[in-house]
Amino acid sequence: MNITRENYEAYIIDYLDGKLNPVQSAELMHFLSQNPDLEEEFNEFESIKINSSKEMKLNKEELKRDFSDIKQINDENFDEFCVANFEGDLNNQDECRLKEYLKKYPEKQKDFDLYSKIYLSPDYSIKYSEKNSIKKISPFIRRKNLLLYVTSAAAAILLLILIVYMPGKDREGISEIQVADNITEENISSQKEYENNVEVTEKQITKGKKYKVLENIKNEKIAEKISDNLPKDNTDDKREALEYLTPISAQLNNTVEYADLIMNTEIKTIKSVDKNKYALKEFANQYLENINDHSIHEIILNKINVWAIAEAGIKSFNYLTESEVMLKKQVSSDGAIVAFALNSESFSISSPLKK
Amino acid sequence: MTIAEYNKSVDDFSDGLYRFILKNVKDEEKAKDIIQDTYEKLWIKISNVSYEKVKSYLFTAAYHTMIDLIRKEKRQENMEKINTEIYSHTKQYTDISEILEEAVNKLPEDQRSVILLRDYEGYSYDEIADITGLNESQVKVYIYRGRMFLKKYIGSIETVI
Repeated sequence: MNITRENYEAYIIDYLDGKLNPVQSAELMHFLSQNPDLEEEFNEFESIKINSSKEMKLNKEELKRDFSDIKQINDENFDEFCVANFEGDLNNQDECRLKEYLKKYPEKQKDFDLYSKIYLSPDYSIKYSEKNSIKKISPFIRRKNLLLYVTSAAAAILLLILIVYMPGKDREGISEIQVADNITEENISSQKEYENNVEVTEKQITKGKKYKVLENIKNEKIAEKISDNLPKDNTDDKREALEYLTPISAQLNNTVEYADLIMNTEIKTIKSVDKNKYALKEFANQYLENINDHSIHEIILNKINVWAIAEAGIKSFNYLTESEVMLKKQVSSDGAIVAFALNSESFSISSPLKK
Repeated sequence: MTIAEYNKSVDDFSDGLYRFILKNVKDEEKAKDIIQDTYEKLWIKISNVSYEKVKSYLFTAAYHTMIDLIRKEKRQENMEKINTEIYSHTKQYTDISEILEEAVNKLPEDQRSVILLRDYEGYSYDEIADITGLNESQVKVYIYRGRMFLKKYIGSIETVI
Protein backbone atom coordinates (compact mmCIF):
# COMPACT_ATOMS: atom_id res chain seq x y z
CA MET A 1 0.00 0.00 0.00
CA ASN A 2 1.47 3.29 -1.06
CA ILE A 3 -0.18 6.19 0.76
CA THR A 4 0.66 9.60 -0.62
CA ARG A 5 -0.63 13.12 -0.12
CA GLU A 6 -2.64 12.62 -3.32
CA ASN A 7 -4.59 9.58 -2.27
CA TYR A 8 -4.64 9.73 1.54
CA GLU A 9 -8.40 10.84 1.69
CA ALA A 10 -9.53 7.55 0.24
CA TYR A 11 -7.53 5.68 2.85
CA ILE A 12 -8.92 7.82 5.65
CA ILE A 13 -12.51 7.19 4.48
CA ASP A 14 -11.86 3.44 4.22
CA TYR A 15 -10.36 3.54 7.68
CA LEU A 16 -13.41 5.32 9.08
CA ASP A 17 -15.66 2.83 7.33
CA GLY A 18 -13.67 -0.02 8.88
CA LYS A 19 -12.56 -1.32 5.52
CA LEU A 20 -8.80 -1.34 6.23
CA ASN A 21 -7.13 -4.36 7.75
CA PRO A 22 -4.81 -3.93 10.76
CA VAL A 23 -1.65 -3.75 8.61
CA GLN A 24 -3.18 -1.10 6.34
CA SER A 25 -4.48 0.82 9.37
CA ALA A 26 -0.97 0.79 10.88
CA GLU A 27 0.48 2.07 7.61
CA LEU A 28 -2.09 4.87 7.53
CA MET A 29 -1.26 5.86 11.14
CA HIS A 30 2.44 5.87 10.27
CA PHE A 31 1.79 8.10 7.24
CA LEU A 32 -0.28 10.55 9.35
CA SER A 33 2.39 10.72 12.03
CA GLN A 34 4.83 11.81 9.36
CA ASN A 35 2.37 14.47 8.10
CA PRO A 36 1.06 16.39 11.13
CA ASP A 37 -1.17 18.71 9.08
CA LEU A 38 -2.98 15.73 7.63
CA GLU A 39 -3.22 14.14 11.05
CA GLU A 40 -5.06 17.21 12.27
CA GLU A 41 -7.44 16.91 9.32
CA PHE A 42 -7.93 13.21 10.13
CA ASN A 43 -8.89 14.05 13.71
CA GLU A 44 -11.53 16.44 12.44
CA PHE A 45 -12.95 13.68 10.26
CA GLU A 46 -13.09 11.30 13.16
CA SER A 47 -15.12 13.69 15.29
CA ILE A 48 -17.88 13.74 12.70
CA LYS A 49 -20.38 11.04 13.59
CA ILE A 50 -23.74 10.53 11.96
CA ASN A 51 -26.62 9.85 14.31
CA SER A 52 -28.86 7.17 12.94
CA SER A 53 -30.81 7.15 16.10
CA LYS A 54 -34.32 7.09 17.26
CA GLU A 55 -34.53 10.78 17.98
CA MET A 56 -34.70 11.33 14.25
CA LYS A 57 -38.11 9.68 13.91
CA LEU A 58 -40.84 11.95 12.66
CA ASN A 59 -44.16 12.25 14.31
CA LYS A 60 -46.21 11.24 11.29
CA GLU A 61 -49.51 11.93 12.94
CA GLU A 62 -48.61 15.60 13.20
CA LEU A 63 -48.04 15.70 9.46
CA LYS A 64 -51.34 14.11 8.58
CA ARG A 65 -54.26 16.25 7.50
CA ASP A 66 -57.99 15.84 7.66
CA PHE A 67 -60.84 17.06 5.48
CA SER A 68 -61.44 19.83 7.97
CA ASP A 69 -57.95 21.12 7.11
CA ILE A 70 -59.06 21.79 3.55
CA LYS A 71 -60.21 25.34 3.48
CA GLN A 72 -62.67 25.06 0.66
CA ILE A 73 -64.21 22.46 -1.58
CA ASN A 74 -63.35 22.92 -5.21
CA ASP A 75 -63.28 21.02 -8.49
CA GLU A 76 -60.06 19.25 -7.56
CA ASN A 77 -61.10 17.89 -4.22
CA PHE A 78 -64.84 17.48 -4.85
CA ASP A 79 -64.53 13.79 -5.79
CA GLU A 80 -62.56 13.07 -2.67
CA PHE A 81 -65.23 14.75 -0.56
CA CYS A 82 -67.93 12.70 -2.29
CA VAL A 83 -66.14 9.42 -1.58
CA ALA A 84 -65.49 10.47 1.99
CA ASN A 85 -69.15 11.36 2.38
CA PHE A 86 -70.35 7.89 1.35
CA GLU A 87 -67.56 6.15 3.25
CA GLY A 88 -68.63 7.95 6.41
CA ASP A 89 -65.30 9.73 6.78
CA LEU A 90 -66.69 13.26 6.97
CA ASN A 91 -67.68 14.91 10.20
CA ASN A 92 -70.92 16.88 10.43
CA GLN A 93 -69.24 20.16 9.65
CA ASP A 94 -67.62 18.82 6.49
CA GLU A 95 -70.89 17.22 5.40
CA CYS A 96 -72.54 20.64 5.69
CA ARG A 97 -69.78 22.20 3.66
CA LEU A 98 -70.33 19.61 0.94
CA LYS A 99 -74.08 20.24 0.92
CA GLU A 100 -73.49 23.96 0.63
CA TYR A 101 -71.11 23.36 -2.24
CA LEU A 102 -73.72 21.26 -4.03
CA LYS A 103 -76.30 23.99 -3.53
CA LYS A 104 -73.92 26.50 -4.93
CA TYR A 105 -72.98 24.27 -7.87
CA PRO A 106 -76.09 22.19 -8.73
CA GLU A 107 -74.41 20.81 -11.85
CA LYS A 108 -72.25 18.77 -9.50
CA GLN A 109 -75.28 16.98 -8.08
CA LYS A 110 -75.18 14.41 -10.91
CA ASP A 111 -71.63 13.44 -10.06
CA PHE A 112 -72.52 13.26 -6.41
CA ASP A 113 -75.46 10.94 -7.20
CA LEU A 114 -73.21 8.69 -9.25
CA TYR A 115 -71.09 8.04 -6.18
CA SER A 116 -74.11 6.64 -4.42
CA LYS A 117 -74.43 3.99 -7.14
CA ILE A 118 -70.98 2.49 -6.96
CA TYR A 119 -71.46 0.44 -3.83
CA LEU A 120 -71.46 -3.29 -4.37
CA SER A 121 -73.81 -5.74 -2.75
CA PRO A 122 -72.97 -9.43 -2.53
CA ASP A 123 -74.72 -11.90 -4.80
CA TYR A 124 -76.16 -14.28 -2.22
CA SER A 125 -77.06 -16.80 -4.90
CA ILE A 126 -73.35 -17.60 -5.15
CA LYS A 127 -72.70 -20.29 -2.59
CA TYR A 128 -69.82 -22.56 -1.86
CA SER A 129 -71.10 -25.96 -2.88
CA GLU A 130 -68.44 -28.17 -1.35
CA LYS A 131 -68.87 -27.43 2.31
CA ASN A 132 -69.18 -31.08 3.23
CA SER A 133 -65.81 -31.87 1.71
CA ILE A 134 -64.04 -29.47 4.07
CA LYS A 135 -65.97 -30.29 7.19
CA LYS A 136 -64.28 -32.59 9.67
CA ILE A 137 -65.75 -35.53 11.51
CA SER A 138 -64.79 -36.04 15.11
CA PRO A 139 -63.08 -39.37 15.97
CA PHE A 140 -66.15 -40.33 17.99
CA ILE A 141 -68.54 -39.89 15.06
CA ARG A 142 -66.09 -41.69 12.79
CA ARG A 143 -66.09 -44.59 15.24
CA LYS A 144 -69.86 -44.53 15.41
CA ASN A 145 -70.10 -44.62 11.61
CA LEU A 146 -67.71 -47.53 11.51
CA LEU A 147 -69.88 -49.39 13.99
CA LEU A 148 -72.92 -48.65 11.89
CA TYR A 149 -71.24 -50.17 8.85
CA VAL A 150 -70.18 -53.20 10.84
CA THR A 151 -73.63 -53.74 12.30
CA SER A 152 -75.20 -53.25 8.85
CA ALA A 153 -72.92 -55.87 7.39
CA ALA A 154 -73.68 -58.21 10.28
CA ALA A 155 -77.40 -57.70 9.79
CA ALA A 156 -77.04 -58.43 6.08
CA ILE A 157 -75.13 -61.63 6.75
CA LEU A 158 -77.67 -62.81 9.31
CA LEU A 159 -80.48 -62.06 6.92
CA LEU A 160 -78.73 -64.08 4.26
CA ILE A 161 -78.41 -67.00 6.66
CA LEU A 162 -82.10 -66.73 7.46
CA ILE A 163 -83.06 -66.83 3.81
CA VAL A 164 -80.75 -69.70 2.91
CA TYR A 165 -81.38 -72.00 5.85
CA MET A 166 -84.81 -71.25 7.22
CA PRO A 167 -87.41 -72.02 4.52
CA GLY A 168 -88.83 -75.53 5.02
CA LYS A 169 -85.94 -76.70 7.11
CA ASP A 170 -87.17 -75.71 10.49
CA ARG A 171 -90.90 -75.52 10.28
CA GLU A 172 -91.31 -75.84 13.99
CA GLY A 173 -89.75 -72.50 14.44
CA ILE A 174 -90.86 -70.62 11.39
CA SER A 175 -93.62 -72.09 9.33
CA GLU A 176 -94.72 -69.10 7.30
CA ILE A 177 -92.07 -68.98 4.64
CA GLN A 178 -93.35 -70.16 1.36
CA VAL A 179 -91.13 -70.39 -1.65
CA ALA A 180 -93.04 -69.91 -4.86
CA ASP A 181 -90.81 -72.15 -6.91
CA ASN A 182 -91.78 -75.17 -4.87
CA ILE A 183 -95.48 -74.57 -4.96
CA THR A 184 -97.85 -76.11 -7.46
CA GLU A 185 -101.50 -76.93 -7.56
CA GLU A 186 -100.64 -80.58 -6.96
CA ASN A 187 -98.79 -80.15 -3.73
CA ILE A 188 -101.60 -78.29 -2.09
CA SER A 189 -103.17 -81.50 -0.86
CA SER A 190 -99.88 -82.80 0.44
CA GLN A 191 -99.48 -79.61 2.35
CA LYS A 192 -102.61 -80.24 4.32
CA GLU A 193 -100.72 -82.72 6.39
CA TYR A 194 -98.08 -80.15 7.15
CA GLU A 195 -100.61 -77.49 7.90
CA ASN A 196 -102.28 -79.71 10.49
CA ASN A 197 -98.98 -79.83 12.28
CA VAL A 198 -98.37 -76.14 12.25
CA GLU A 199 -101.52 -74.92 13.87
CA VAL A 200 -103.48 -73.75 10.93
CA THR A 201 -106.37 -72.24 12.73
CA GLU A 202 -108.66 -71.20 9.93
CA LYS A 203 -108.39 -71.77 6.22
CA GLN A 204 -106.04 -72.28 3.39
CA ILE A 205 -106.13 -69.88 0.55
CA THR A 206 -105.35 -71.59 -2.72
CA LYS A 207 -104.41 -70.27 -6.13
CA GLY A 208 -107.41 -69.05 -8.08
CA LYS A 209 -109.62 -69.46 -5.05
CA LYS A 210 -108.15 -66.88 -2.81
CA TYR A 211 -111.30 -64.84 -2.40
CA LYS A 212 -113.71 -67.79 -2.21
CA VAL A 213 -111.78 -69.39 0.55
CA LEU A 214 -112.48 -66.44 2.74
CA GLU A 215 -116.17 -67.30 2.64
CA ASN A 216 -115.41 -70.47 4.47
CA ILE A 217 -113.64 -68.86 7.32
CA LYS A 218 -115.54 -69.75 10.43
CA ASN A 219 -115.22 -66.47 12.08
CA GLU A 220 -117.56 -64.36 10.00
CA LYS A 221 -116.26 -61.11 11.38
CA ILE A 222 -112.82 -61.86 10.10
CA ALA A 223 -114.15 -62.97 6.77
CA GLU A 224 -116.14 -59.81 6.37
CA LYS A 225 -113.22 -57.63 7.21
CA ILE A 226 -110.88 -59.37 4.84
CA SER A 227 -113.34 -59.52 1.99
CA ASP A 228 -114.16 -55.86 2.50
CA ASN A 229 -110.55 -54.93 2.36
CA LEU A 230 -109.38 -57.11 -0.46
CA PRO A 231 -111.26 -55.88 -3.50
CA LYS A 232 -110.98 -52.24 -2.49
CA ASP A 233 -107.39 -52.13 -1.43
CA ASN A 234 -105.99 -54.71 -3.76
CA THR A 235 -103.55 -53.31 -6.19
CA ASP A 236 -102.32 -55.12 -9.24
CA ASP A 237 -99.14 -55.87 -7.38
CA LYS A 238 -101.04 -57.49 -4.57
CA ARG A 239 -103.02 -59.67 -6.97
CA GLU A 240 -99.90 -60.71 -8.78
CA ALA A 241 -98.18 -61.57 -5.56
CA LEU A 242 -101.12 -63.59 -4.38
CA GLU A 243 -101.25 -65.53 -7.63
CA TYR A 244 -97.57 -66.04 -7.70
CA LEU A 245 -97.28 -67.26 -4.17
CA THR A 246 -99.21 -70.49 -4.00
CA PRO A 247 -100.37 -72.04 -1.87
CA ILE A 248 -100.89 -69.24 0.55
CA SER A 249 -101.61 -70.32 4.06
CA ALA A 250 -103.60 -67.97 6.14
CA GLN A 251 -103.20 -68.86 9.71
CA LEU A 252 -105.61 -66.86 11.69
CA ASN A 253 -106.02 -66.77 15.39
CA ASN A 254 -109.73 -66.10 15.37
CA THR A 255 -109.08 -62.46 16.04
CA VAL A 256 -110.06 -59.46 14.10
CA GLU A 257 -106.71 -57.83 14.82
CA TYR A 258 -104.84 -60.53 12.96
CA ALA A 259 -107.13 -60.23 9.99
CA ASP A 260 -106.37 -56.52 9.89
CA LEU A 261 -102.70 -57.26 10.04
CA ILE A 262 -102.94 -59.58 7.08
CA MET A 263 -104.69 -57.11 4.88
CA ASN A 264 -102.89 -53.96 5.84
CA THR A 265 -99.36 -55.25 5.65
CA GLU A 266 -99.78 -57.60 2.73
CA ILE A 267 -98.67 -60.43 4.95
CA LYS A 268 -99.46 -63.63 3.17
CA THR A 269 -99.37 -66.03 6.12
CA ILE A 270 -99.72 -65.54 9.81
CA LYS A 271 -98.95 -67.77 12.73
CA SER A 272 -99.21 -67.20 16.43
CA VAL A 273 -96.18 -65.53 17.97
CA ASP A 274 -93.38 -67.99 18.42
CA LYS A 275 -90.90 -67.16 21.14
CA ASN A 276 -88.11 -68.91 19.32
CA LYS A 277 -88.77 -67.08 16.11
CA TYR A 278 -85.97 -65.04 14.64
CA ALA A 279 -86.61 -61.42 13.83
CA LEU A 280 -84.37 -58.58 12.69
CA LYS A 281 -84.78 -56.94 16.03
CA GLU A 282 -83.35 -60.02 17.69
CA PHE A 283 -80.54 -60.15 15.14
CA ALA A 284 -79.60 -56.58 15.81
CA ASN A 285 -79.87 -56.95 19.56
CA GLN A 286 -77.92 -60.20 19.46
CA TYR A 287 -75.15 -58.45 17.62
CA LEU A 288 -75.18 -55.47 19.89
CA GLU A 289 -75.00 -57.69 22.96
CA ASN A 290 -71.72 -58.98 21.67
CA ILE A 291 -70.25 -55.54 21.78
CA ASN A 292 -68.27 -55.29 24.99
CA ASP A 293 -68.07 -51.53 25.16
CA HIS A 294 -71.22 -50.77 27.13
CA SER A 295 -71.09 -47.04 26.48
CA ILE A 296 -71.05 -47.61 22.74
CA HIS A 297 -73.74 -50.20 23.14
CA GLU A 298 -75.95 -47.69 24.90
CA ILE A 299 -75.27 -45.00 22.34
CA ILE A 300 -76.17 -47.31 19.52
CA LEU A 301 -79.32 -48.49 21.26
CA ASN A 302 -80.37 -44.95 21.98
CA LYS A 303 -79.24 -43.14 18.87
CA ILE A 304 -79.30 -45.80 16.20
CA ASN A 305 -82.67 -47.32 15.73
CA VAL A 306 -82.70 -51.08 15.30
CA TRP A 307 -84.95 -50.57 12.31
CA ALA A 308 -82.35 -48.34 10.75
CA ILE A 309 -79.78 -51.09 11.14
CA ALA A 310 -82.18 -53.64 9.72
CA GLU A 311 -82.98 -51.41 6.76
CA ALA A 312 -79.31 -50.73 6.19
CA GLY A 313 -78.65 -54.46 6.32
CA ILE A 314 -81.37 -55.17 3.80
CA LYS A 315 -80.08 -52.45 1.51
CA SER A 316 -76.62 -53.98 1.72
CA PHE A 317 -78.08 -57.41 1.05
CA ASN A 318 -80.01 -56.10 -1.96
CA TYR A 319 -76.86 -54.49 -3.24
CA LEU A 320 -74.80 -57.65 -2.84
CA THR A 321 -77.38 -60.05 -4.28
CA GLU A 322 -79.09 -57.64 -6.68
CA SER A 323 -82.40 -58.67 -5.15
CA GLU A 324 -85.29 -56.51 -4.05
CA VAL A 325 -86.17 -57.50 -0.55
CA MET A 326 -88.38 -54.96 1.15
CA LEU A 327 -88.94 -54.40 4.83
CA LYS A 328 -92.40 -53.20 5.74
CA LYS A 329 -93.61 -52.16 9.14
CA GLN A 330 -97.08 -52.25 10.61
CA VAL A 331 -97.65 -49.20 12.79
CA SER A 332 -100.44 -49.02 15.34
CA SER A 333 -102.60 -45.96 15.94
CA ASP A 334 -100.30 -44.85 18.77
CA GLY A 335 -97.29 -44.95 16.47
CA ALA A 336 -95.73 -48.15 17.78
CA ILE A 337 -94.47 -50.76 15.35
CA VAL A 338 -96.58 -53.86 15.95
CA ALA A 339 -95.46 -56.13 13.09
CA PHE A 340 -93.07 -56.31 10.22
CA ALA A 341 -92.83 -58.15 6.95
CA LEU A 342 -90.05 -58.99 4.55
CA ASN A 343 -91.28 -59.22 0.99
CA SER A 344 -89.58 -60.19 -2.21
CA GLU A 345 -90.51 -61.83 -5.47
CA SER A 346 -89.81 -65.30 -4.15
CA PHE A 347 -90.73 -65.21 -0.50
CA SER A 348 -92.59 -63.36 2.15
CA ILE A 349 -91.98 -63.38 5.88
CA SER A 350 -94.09 -61.70 8.47
CA SER A 351 -94.13 -61.51 12.22
CA PRO A 352 -95.90 -59.58 14.92
CA LEU A 353 -93.61 -57.96 17.45
CA LYS A 354 -93.52 -58.56 21.15
CA LYS A 355 -95.38 -55.90 23.07
CA MET B 1 -61.50 -23.80 18.55
CA THR B 2 -63.43 -27.04 18.65
CA ILE B 3 -64.30 -29.27 15.70
CA ALA B 4 -67.90 -28.13 16.02
CA GLU B 5 -66.79 -24.49 15.82
CA TYR B 6 -64.58 -25.30 12.85
CA ASN B 7 -67.56 -26.88 11.07
CA LYS B 8 -69.70 -23.89 12.04
CA SER B 9 -67.10 -21.61 10.47
CA VAL B 10 -67.53 -23.60 7.26
CA ASP B 11 -71.28 -23.05 7.38
CA ASP B 12 -71.04 -19.40 8.39
CA PHE B 13 -68.17 -18.02 6.36
CA SER B 14 -67.36 -20.23 3.39
CA ASP B 15 -70.05 -18.66 1.19
CA GLY B 16 -68.84 -15.10 1.80
CA LEU B 17 -65.24 -16.18 1.43
CA TYR B 18 -66.04 -17.94 -1.83
CA ARG B 19 -67.85 -14.89 -3.23
CA PHE B 20 -64.92 -12.67 -2.32
CA ILE B 21 -62.33 -14.95 -3.92
CA LEU B 22 -64.47 -15.73 -6.95
CA LYS B 23 -64.95 -12.03 -7.68
CA ASN B 24 -61.20 -11.60 -7.59
CA VAL B 25 -59.95 -14.62 -9.51
CA LYS B 26 -63.01 -15.00 -11.75
CA ASP B 27 -62.51 -18.75 -11.94
CA GLU B 28 -64.77 -21.11 -10.00
CA GLU B 29 -62.29 -23.97 -9.78
CA LYS B 30 -59.47 -21.76 -8.60
CA ALA B 31 -61.77 -20.10 -6.09
CA LYS B 32 -62.80 -23.50 -4.74
CA ASP B 33 -59.16 -24.58 -4.50
CA ILE B 34 -58.33 -21.45 -2.53
CA ILE B 35 -61.21 -22.07 -0.12
CA GLN B 36 -60.06 -25.66 0.30
CA ASP B 37 -56.48 -24.54 1.01
CA THR B 38 -57.67 -21.87 3.40
CA TYR B 39 -59.73 -24.24 5.49
CA GLU B 40 -56.87 -26.74 5.42
CA LYS B 41 -54.63 -24.05 6.91
CA LEU B 42 -57.27 -23.29 9.51
CA TRP B 43 -57.55 -26.98 10.38
CA ILE B 44 -53.80 -27.16 10.96
CA LYS B 45 -53.96 -24.14 13.25
CA ILE B 46 -57.26 -25.03 14.84
CA SER B 47 -55.84 -24.93 18.35
CA ASN B 48 -54.37 -21.45 17.85
CA VAL B 49 -57.39 -19.71 16.33
CA SER B 50 -60.40 -18.79 18.41
CA TYR B 51 -63.86 -18.78 16.92
CA GLU B 52 -64.14 -15.01 17.50
CA LYS B 53 -61.12 -14.44 15.25
CA VAL B 54 -61.80 -17.14 12.71
CA LYS B 55 -63.52 -14.96 10.12
CA SER B 56 -60.63 -12.56 10.01
CA TYR B 57 -58.19 -15.48 9.90
CA LEU B 58 -60.04 -17.06 7.00
CA PHE B 59 -60.15 -13.87 4.95
CA THR B 60 -56.50 -13.15 5.66
CA ALA B 61 -55.39 -16.65 4.72
CA ALA B 62 -57.62 -16.73 1.63
CA TYR B 63 -56.43 -13.30 0.49
CA HIS B 64 -52.76 -14.26 0.74
CA THR B 65 -53.35 -17.63 -0.91
CA MET B 66 -55.08 -15.81 -3.72
CA ILE B 67 -52.28 -13.28 -4.09
CA ASP B 68 -49.70 -16.09 -4.15
CA LEU B 69 -51.70 -17.85 -6.83
CA ILE B 70 -52.00 -14.72 -8.91
CA ARG B 71 -48.27 -14.06 -8.62
CA LYS B 72 -47.47 -17.62 -9.54
CA GLU B 73 -49.52 -17.32 -12.65
CA LYS B 74 -47.87 -14.01 -13.42
CA ARG B 75 -51.16 -12.37 -13.90
CA GLN B 76 -50.57 -9.57 -11.48
CA GLU B 77 -51.07 -6.23 -13.12
CA ASN B 78 -49.47 -2.98 -12.26
CA MET B 79 -51.42 -2.08 -9.15
CA GLU B 80 -51.31 1.61 -9.67
CA LYS B 81 -51.74 1.90 -13.37
CA ILE B 82 -55.17 2.22 -14.83
CA ASN B 83 -55.11 1.90 -18.54
CA THR B 84 -57.22 4.53 -20.20
CA GLU B 85 -58.36 1.96 -22.75
CA ILE B 86 -60.41 0.25 -20.10
CA TYR B 87 -62.95 3.02 -20.31
CA SER B 88 -63.83 1.96 -23.84
CA HIS B 89 -66.93 -0.20 -24.13
CA THR B 90 -69.13 -1.57 -26.86
CA LYS B 91 -71.41 -3.84 -24.85
CA GLN B 92 -75.14 -3.31 -24.33
CA TYR B 93 -76.20 -3.04 -20.68
CA THR B 94 -79.54 -3.66 -19.07
CA ASP B 95 -78.89 -2.17 -15.65
CA ILE B 96 -76.34 -0.37 -13.53
CA SER B 97 -75.26 -3.52 -11.69
CA GLU B 98 -73.93 -5.01 -14.93
CA ILE B 99 -71.88 -1.90 -15.59
CA LEU B 100 -70.62 -1.91 -12.03
CA GLU B 101 -69.70 -5.58 -12.29
CA GLU B 102 -67.67 -4.86 -15.39
CA ALA B 103 -66.05 -1.83 -13.78
CA VAL B 104 -65.04 -3.83 -10.70
CA ASN B 105 -63.43 -6.45 -12.92
CA LYS B 106 -61.30 -3.72 -14.44
CA LEU B 107 -59.95 -2.47 -11.13
CA PRO B 108 -56.37 -3.33 -10.19
CA GLU B 109 -56.14 -6.32 -7.85
CA ASP B 110 -55.45 -4.41 -4.64
CA GLN B 111 -58.20 -1.88 -5.21
CA ARG B 112 -60.70 -4.57 -6.10
CA SER B 113 -59.84 -6.65 -3.03
CA VAL B 114 -60.19 -3.82 -0.56
CA ILE B 115 -63.42 -2.59 -2.10
CA LEU B 116 -64.90 -6.11 -2.06
CA LEU B 117 -63.90 -6.55 1.56
CA ARG B 118 -65.42 -3.19 2.37
CA ASP B 119 -68.69 -3.66 0.49
CA TYR B 120 -69.27 -7.41 0.80
CA GLU B 121 -68.17 -7.92 4.38
CA GLY B 122 -68.40 -4.39 5.77
CA TYR B 123 -64.86 -4.43 7.14
CA SER B 124 -63.34 -1.23 8.51
CA TYR B 125 -60.11 0.25 7.17
CA ASP B 126 -58.00 -1.27 9.94
CA GLU B 127 -59.61 -4.70 9.58
CA ILE B 128 -58.91 -4.61 5.85
CA ALA B 129 -55.35 -3.55 6.65
CA ASP B 130 -54.97 -6.61 8.90
CA ILE B 131 -56.33 -8.94 6.27
CA THR B 132 -54.35 -7.59 3.35
CA GLY B 133 -51.14 -6.72 5.17
CA LEU B 134 -51.36 -3.15 3.92
CA ASN B 135 -51.32 -0.22 6.30
CA GLU B 136 -54.51 1.66 7.04
CA SER B 137 -53.54 4.66 4.95
CA GLN B 138 -52.81 2.49 1.94
CA VAL B 139 -56.18 0.79 2.32
CA LYS B 140 -57.89 4.16 2.39
CA VAL B 141 -55.99 5.32 -0.67
CA TYR B 142 -56.92 2.17 -2.60
CA ILE B 143 -60.56 2.50 -1.65
CA TYR B 144 -60.71 6.16 -2.66
CA ARG B 145 -58.96 5.53 -5.94
CA GLY B 146 -61.15 2.52 -6.63
CA ARG B 147 -64.34 4.45 -5.91
CA MET B 148 -63.32 7.30 -8.15
CA PHE B 149 -62.55 4.86 -10.94
CA LEU B 150 -65.91 3.12 -10.57
CA LYS B 151 -67.75 6.45 -10.62
CA LYS B 152 -65.85 7.58 -13.65
CA TYR B 153 -66.53 4.29 -15.44
CA ILE B 154 -70.24 4.36 -14.70
CA GLY B 155 -70.42 8.05 -15.61
CA SER B 156 -68.77 7.43 -18.96
CA ILE B 157 -71.20 4.64 -19.81
CA GLU B 158 -74.24 6.60 -18.69
CA THR B 159 -73.16 9.34 -21.04
CA VAL B 160 -73.01 6.82 -23.90
CA ILE B 161 -76.39 5.32 -23.00
